[in-house]
Formats: sequence, C-alpha cells, structure tokens
Amino acid sequence: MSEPLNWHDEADILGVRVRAWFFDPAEVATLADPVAQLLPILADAPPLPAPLLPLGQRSSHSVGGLVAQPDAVLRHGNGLLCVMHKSADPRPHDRDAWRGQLRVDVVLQAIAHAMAVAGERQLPTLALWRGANVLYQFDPSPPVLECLATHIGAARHYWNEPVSINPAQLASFCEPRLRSLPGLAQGAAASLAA
Amino acid sequence: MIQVQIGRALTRAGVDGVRWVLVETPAVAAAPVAGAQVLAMAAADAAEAPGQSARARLSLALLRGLVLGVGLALAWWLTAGALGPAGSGLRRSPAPVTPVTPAATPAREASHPPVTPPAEPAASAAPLITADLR
Repeated sequence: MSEPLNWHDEADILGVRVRAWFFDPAEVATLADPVAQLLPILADAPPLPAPLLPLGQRSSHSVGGLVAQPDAVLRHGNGLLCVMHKSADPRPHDRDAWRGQLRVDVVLQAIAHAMAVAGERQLPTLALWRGANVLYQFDPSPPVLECLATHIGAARHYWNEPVSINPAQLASFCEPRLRSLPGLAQGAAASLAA
Repeated sequence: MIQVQIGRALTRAGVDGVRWVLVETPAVAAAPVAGAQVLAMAAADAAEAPGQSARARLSLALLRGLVLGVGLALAWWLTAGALGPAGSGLRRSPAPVTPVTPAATPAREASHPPVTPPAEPAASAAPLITADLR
C-alpha cells in the first residue's frame, strides 16, 4: 500500500506486536496542526488524518455490549485511527526500558477501544496510544482479538453490568486469561526481561 | 455477529493489513424473545404429552402381558416335560425292592400276622435273589 513508517523499536507484549516511535515533546509542541501534534509520526507526510470530531471532543462507539469513548478517532486513507492520549502516563517513557513501562492493561484498553470503533463504523481501525514522548501502535495477534471479542458477555456478568461494559472493564477481565495462555505468557515474560 | 476489522500497520497513506474477528451481538433484547420461544415449545410439548404417555402406558402394559404369558407358557412346558401330562398325577419312582429272605419272613409273620396274602412281585423276586446268591 505505502512505504512503512520508520518505527524506532518494536516488541511482542502479551500477544500484541507493539511498535514505538519516540519524539521530543518540546519540538512536537511547536507544530501548528493539532493532528500533527497528536500524531507526530505523520507530521511530514500530508495529507494528515482527518478527525471525525474536533479534537478534544469524544464520541461514543459500541459493538456487542462494549461501549468505548476514545480520545480521538481520525479518518486515515482506507481506515480509521483510534487514539488514546488523555489517559496516558504523563511521565516520559525511556527508549531502552519502554517494554517495562508500558502497562498491559493500557495496551488491551486501546485495542478494545479500536474494536468498538471498528465494529460500529465497519472500517479497519488501528489502535494507537500517545504518551508524553512516544507513540505506540498495537497489532494484536488472533488469540488476543478472540479473547477480547468472545469475553464481552462474560465480563458484563462479572462486572454486573446488564447492558454494557467499557474497555477498561473488558481489559482487566481478559488480562489474566491472556496471561494464562502459554505462548502469550512467555512473550510477556520475555518482554519484561528485555 | 458483527465483524470487527483491526488494522495491523500504520502507513503514510492509510491502514495496511487487517485482522478481523466476530463479536457477538448483545442478547439483552433478544433474550426475552428466545425465552418466550423456549416456553412456547415447552408448552407445545406439554400439550402433546398426555396422548403420548397414554400410548406409552398401553404399549408397556401389552409388553408386560406378553412377557408374563411367555413366562407362564415356558413354565408349563417345563413342568409338563419333567412330570408328565397334566392330570395324570405325579410320577412316582418305583419302590425299592427289598430282598425277602426265608428267615426274615417268619419273624414278621410272628409279630404282625398278615391280613392280606403277600404280593406277587415280592414272591417272584425272592427266588431270583436266592438264585443269585446260590
């Protein structure tokens, strides 16, 4: 489709391929376009993604009893970008130790947000998380997607929510189940050791 | 089921690669309908149940009668084969033939005088035994 972006690092964390792109927050703050500030990795490659709502406004998306309110949803070519940044850790992530700083529940929450957007909009959606000095892109493996997709009902019962749950509830319900899967648990341990 | 497509890679032009998964639609609204259908089916089954149970009871009674009749016929056949035809009385085994010796006969006659003359088989058996002894 297009030339791949130059990610600075990547790793498998609990069945999710995580790609990281680090930037200087002060330099990014000087960018004129708020979308470029949000996604600095695309700042030099116009046209920039187009937000579905003005940045700062959150829209609600739901699929199968999962209701999500991502921080931003942007149209980008043939798909959508689901970006979480308001709940981000304000502390900068270290380029050599980010694998230990990135929390698994945050990763799963971002993917769950993207699932809700993709299900409602019926468009391929990318899960992104922007921190103080880093942008992460998450590529979940099939077991992770299946776990999140098939446990919405069980998580609703667990949290005693008759109608819907949010991505944080689904992520906390699925994280121990993913850790119990042998292949994924080994990947998580390896990433922590690195 | 709702199809969910998650992109795999961010490019300058868009989203590259897709993983998709099916998400089950919530059953909150559909549950009462399904429950009503199940109840309706259960009610239909219950309506058919009396006729079915009467037929089953009749079949069971016939089967029991058949088994009982076969058992009785088998018992009668075995009894008839072992004891003879019905009404002829029990077949008795022949009485043991006691050897009658000339010495023993006078002693019985002395204590209990016979009312009737001695039977023919006993009289005819004595010479045979004595013949063997000789």
